[in-house]
Amino acid sequence: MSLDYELFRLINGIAGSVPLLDTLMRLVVNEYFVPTTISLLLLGLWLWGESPKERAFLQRAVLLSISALALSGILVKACNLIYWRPRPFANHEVNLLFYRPTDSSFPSNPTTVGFAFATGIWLYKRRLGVALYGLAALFGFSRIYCGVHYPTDVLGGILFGTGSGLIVHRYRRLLEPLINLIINVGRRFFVA
Amino acid sequence: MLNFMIEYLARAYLVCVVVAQLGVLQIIAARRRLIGLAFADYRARPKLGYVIGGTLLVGSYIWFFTTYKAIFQPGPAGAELTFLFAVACILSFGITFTIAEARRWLAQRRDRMRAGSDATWPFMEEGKATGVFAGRPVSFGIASGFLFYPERGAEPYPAICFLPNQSSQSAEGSQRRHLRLLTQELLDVGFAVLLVDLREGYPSYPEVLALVPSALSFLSKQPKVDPDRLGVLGLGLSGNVALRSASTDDRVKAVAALGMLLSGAGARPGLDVLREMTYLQAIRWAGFRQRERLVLDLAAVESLSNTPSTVPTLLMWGAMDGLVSPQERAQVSNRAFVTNSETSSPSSGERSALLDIRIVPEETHMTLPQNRNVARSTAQWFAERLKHVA
Repeated sequence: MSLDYELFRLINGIAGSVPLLDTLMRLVVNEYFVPTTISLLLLGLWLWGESPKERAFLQRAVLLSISALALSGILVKACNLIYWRPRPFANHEVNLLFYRPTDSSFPSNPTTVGFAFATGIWLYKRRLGVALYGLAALFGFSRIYCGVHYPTDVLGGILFGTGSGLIVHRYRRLLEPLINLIINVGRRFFVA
Repeated sequence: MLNFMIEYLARAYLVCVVVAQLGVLQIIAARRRLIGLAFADYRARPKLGYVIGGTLLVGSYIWFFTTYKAIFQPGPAGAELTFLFAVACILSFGITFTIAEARRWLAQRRDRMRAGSDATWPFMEEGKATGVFAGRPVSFGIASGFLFYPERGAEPYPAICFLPNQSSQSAEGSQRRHLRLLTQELLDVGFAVLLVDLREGYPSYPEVLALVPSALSFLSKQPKVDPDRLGVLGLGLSGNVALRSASTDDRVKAVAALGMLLSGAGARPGLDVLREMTYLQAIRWAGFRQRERLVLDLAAVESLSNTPSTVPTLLMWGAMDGLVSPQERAQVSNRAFVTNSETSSPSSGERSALLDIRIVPEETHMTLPQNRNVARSTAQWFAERLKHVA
């Protein structure tokens, strides 16, 4: 048995034995909780700055993390065209605490999303970025715990998400005109 | 349209996110003192904003995630979730702006009922006002106004040309209370006051440069006014006009600017404007498109270095002014000490004795002129500098 599957069994094996942990993992694993929380954080960050200069700095972070999300989505779709992996429950007996997704197991899309946002924010706001990394890591872990991803799927998601964030940050100057346009329009309507 | 989400779940999710966003907006409104986003007055009680915001946020989550077991069914596509979040943003902002506007309207109605007939001062019908506040309507050059004489003091009186800010005269009557407050304080210390009427609109540049000279010419011709003791007081953008006039008209013996704008950014403050007013007020405020151009053309800060060093100058801002940043205010002091090569070069200490910069704690751009202590100290400032000019 591969290390990947052994690790999966180790984590998924806990599922069903600790009801409180099961409830927590089910709360985190669904497609609403973490994405909504991250989105609300981004909304708050957009409006947070004390001065126009500080707000523009944070708004840049928000827009670049959204760009990282878009890039990671493209990369995941491209990966899925080349490589398709069945889910753990397709080939093994698992403790399944969630519905059965039908798309490719690799990479973990939710983990990719979480780490793309977290990287985009971490590059501008370290502490908040670390908190978002924690949330994204929990999101990824819950996918293994609930039986819908292998650990390497989550690792792939981390790489795709973090990589997207770093690539967008590296080439952010190309996005500057669009970012400035969005911020200026927001200012004109008193929401930036 | 929704391929992946169950319809009733989509509706519930939308409600959850709208309420959660309302919570986020209240927390922001309390933290940044944005009255345009606030459900209540958080300036005095920011904790109330945190409590309301936190309750909405946590409450929405608890309701949605404990009620709907369908969240464990095949869920939404990312695009659907994004769409619902965006719709929720529009709704939550709309609800927030509406509640803040309703709050303002109710407060204004209450003020108007308390103010009674004074609510329309000074633009009231003939014979409605009595005593010292029965200003005489006058016209001069490109503008008109109201002339008030004090009850005490000996003639000829020193006089102040008072330029209100552009928005105050188009505002509801109760918001013009600060005009009466400032006029009253000036009359109490023995000044005649010419309150300029800018309801017809703000003159564009360079016509606006003629506003103060024509007002001063009018005052100089009044038998009860001492033409050698004339001052100019301007609020907001009118402060820029006042300052500019002091640099070119030697009849100005003292000038005060309360809440003047310091850059084009002050005319495009973005979210900071909601620290001063509601969203609907901000839209009306932004309707005056000349503002940014006027700030740049008047170049009031640059004119400080051209103002004769013998003219006392008072600059005042609220510490919470949403239209003038602390960095901009700090720059003013530095520029004010630059003198041109034609004037003698006073030491910086000498200039600083005549340039008075005051920052009033807790006041915003709009509330600064409504502060009774500000009105009183401004009147006192003029009295100390003009009443005994030789």
